[in-house]
Amino acid sequence: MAKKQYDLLFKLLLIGDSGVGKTCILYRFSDDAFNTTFISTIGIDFKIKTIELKGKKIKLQIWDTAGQERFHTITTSYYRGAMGIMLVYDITNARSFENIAKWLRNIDEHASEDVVKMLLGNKCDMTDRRVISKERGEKIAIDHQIRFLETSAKSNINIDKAFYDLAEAILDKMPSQSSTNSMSIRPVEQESNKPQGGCC
Amino acid sequence: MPPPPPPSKLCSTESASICREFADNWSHYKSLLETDSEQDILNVLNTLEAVRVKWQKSDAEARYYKEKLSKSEKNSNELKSAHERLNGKLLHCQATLDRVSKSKDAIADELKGYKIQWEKLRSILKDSDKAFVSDGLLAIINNVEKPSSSLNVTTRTRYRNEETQSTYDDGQSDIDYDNSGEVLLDVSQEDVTSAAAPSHRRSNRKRPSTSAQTPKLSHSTFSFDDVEATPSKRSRNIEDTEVPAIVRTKKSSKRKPPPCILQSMKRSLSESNLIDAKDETIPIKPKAHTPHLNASKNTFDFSSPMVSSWTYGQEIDRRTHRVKVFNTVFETCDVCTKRFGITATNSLKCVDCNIRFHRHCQSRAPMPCVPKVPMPKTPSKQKCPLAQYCPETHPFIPPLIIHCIVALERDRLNSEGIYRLTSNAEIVGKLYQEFLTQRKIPILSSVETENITGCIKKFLKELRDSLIPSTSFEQFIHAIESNDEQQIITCVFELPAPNRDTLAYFILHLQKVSQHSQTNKMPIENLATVLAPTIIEYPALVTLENVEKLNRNQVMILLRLLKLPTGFWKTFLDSNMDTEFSTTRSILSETQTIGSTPILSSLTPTKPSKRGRRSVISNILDLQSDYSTSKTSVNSSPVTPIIQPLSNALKGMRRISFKAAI
Repeated sequence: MAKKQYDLLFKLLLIGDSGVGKTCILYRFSDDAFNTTFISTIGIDFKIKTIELKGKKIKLQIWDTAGQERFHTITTSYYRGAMGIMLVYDITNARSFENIAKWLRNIDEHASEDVVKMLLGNKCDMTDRRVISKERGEKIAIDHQIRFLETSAKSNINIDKAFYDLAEAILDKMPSQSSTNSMSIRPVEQESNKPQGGCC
Repeated sequence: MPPPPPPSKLCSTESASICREFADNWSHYKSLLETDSEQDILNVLNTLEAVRVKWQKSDAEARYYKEKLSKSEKNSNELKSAHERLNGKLLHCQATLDRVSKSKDAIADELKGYKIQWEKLRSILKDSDKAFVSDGLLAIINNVEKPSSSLNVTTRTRYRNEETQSTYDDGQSDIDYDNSGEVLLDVSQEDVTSAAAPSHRRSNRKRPSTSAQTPKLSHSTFSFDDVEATPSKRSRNIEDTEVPAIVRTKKSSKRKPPPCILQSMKRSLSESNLIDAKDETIPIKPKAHTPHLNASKNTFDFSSPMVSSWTYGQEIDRRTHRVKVFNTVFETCDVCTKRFGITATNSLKCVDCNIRFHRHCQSRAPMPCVPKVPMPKTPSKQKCPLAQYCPETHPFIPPLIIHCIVALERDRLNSEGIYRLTSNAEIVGKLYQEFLTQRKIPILSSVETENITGCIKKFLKELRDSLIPSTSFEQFIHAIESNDEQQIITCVFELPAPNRDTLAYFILHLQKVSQHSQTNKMPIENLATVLAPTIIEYPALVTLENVEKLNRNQVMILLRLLKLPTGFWKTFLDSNMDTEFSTTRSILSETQTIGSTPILSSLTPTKPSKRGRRSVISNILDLQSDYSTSKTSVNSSPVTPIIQPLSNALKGMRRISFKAAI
């Protein structure tokens, strides 16, 4: 094959309030592991994972940002290079949901125009502590015309699907790839509990 | 009257005889009746009674004697035991006597040894440089001579008191002897710094006791340094002298400078002389103060020897309002929000935080009271330095921080992800503005934990310079990378006073938070990660390349600060800088964590010129601890006067060394 071990490089970014589980999502996706320790991210961190999609090897470079307000000045500088942004909130924490608007504003301000956004409601395994219903999540996603999934890094629900979906959306958007592809953003179809596609 | 004789008809010989017999009996009976047998019976009875009484008496007597017997038995028993006891005592006394006589012999032997040595030395002296040293030295030796013998005795008795082992004395005397010999050797080898060996220390340890018991001696030894200046002041008879004095002579004849300093240092310290210690500290004090305050780049003048702190000795989180009557009609009570009305005497006002309430609302007034700081007036869009948010007196902590932390510590330390979870920017902004602009402090009980922590974070972020300013960043990093606790402490000390106090208060709070890490999942590592960028300013320029390293450094700094002992941080709140200089040291050495390097030794500067001092200090420290351990057994009066001046002198030394470090 080619010299390069991948055909495309996608830069993804995980943002959201602190403590919503951004790092856990990333760890679940890259290492298929879950850590219950409650450790904050310092500044910014990234992981790399190569996936295969539509016959192409795609290298995902996923940036994990710190949710702390004080880090925002740093993390916003990473927005520009990102091709896809995952905005995570915590279904057990109303504040993180309220702050979605703020994050979206941030994206509008700092990210490039054609960035693909995705909203993730994490910790969906904790049904007894849920305060944000799935409908509210879907509604805000439709309002802002972005994809939406409820995930759980702990129980590994929809984690792989989220990344694959986002990668696919970016791939679809690539001008060289399919010029006929419409720019319209379609609402996500019913998600299945099984992760789509295998990971390498 | 006799009965009529029986009829003759019936009279026969037999009946006659019977009749006679009957008559006899009758007469006998009659006679019997006539005699006063009653008297006899009475007599008998009397006798019986007498016997009975006698018997009773004797019985009582017997009992009495029995009692007496038992008593005397007991007595004898007691006497026996007493006798035994006395016997034991006697034996003990004998043993002690034996011991004493033995030790006396030993001392006599020793004395003889000294005498011999003295003679030898005297002859040597006479032979060698008689011309030079002669008068002065001999005079001093003379002076020393008399007490020297008493010195030996006193030290020995002291040791005896400490450990009642007769064998120990002999060994001790040997050590003593050898010891001074060692000192002599050291000096002659011109290796003075290494002379601060354990053996040396012991000789040092003895000296104070002598100086206490025989003040004259110590005085004469002390004035020894100016021998050359005033050589022949005291000239008395020469007989024999103490070994330390010999050391001195040798030295002054050979080489003076460094050993002399060292020795004199030691002496001045071991001397029970309070004035000396003070003399050393006083000239240094102003010097110490200025550089530190220069380091604080501050528009405020915190240097003036402070007005007492606004806490008035109360704990910050429990400080009460200082109320005075105030007259108003139209204003409302800050507690119940009702008007004061015409009954003007009803209304009270706190002179510090400016809160107003009805007299009957006072008990419900929000606590604690922190002096109100007027909203800093700065040109718009310009951030204010921390000092402008702080009260005018120590401790310099902004009211906002205190109120928020008190609210958090009341019942929120267990909330999960405290300080980590993101706040609502709007609510926080409102809270922040309320705190700074409104007279009445916002009620925090209804505010969510995240927003309170958010308010603290926002306040710290909005400062012109963070708690640890950018100018200190490199210094802190350097200190932490070299893992030198002393340097870190120096860095903290060099922060401006408001930054230091606020940092101390905040870190104490964070340490409390981390104690609840079981429930709030925020151990110090997490807290450091989350708060490091808020507390520590980036040094100069931040680029995408260096930001990661800077972030990690920030976390490292905060983590290290969080690991400093609680007692260290408390000092900043408890006392103002003036007193801190002396107290912090001692607190540090007390609260020091096991495993880290001893603070005191690391506190002293590493400059070679100060080496001597350091060894002196450690000596003194040992010495002091020796005293404190032996204090229980030695309750004789001479010990106590030594300890105090020693500690004073020690304090002086600490000061000196600390200053030098800065």
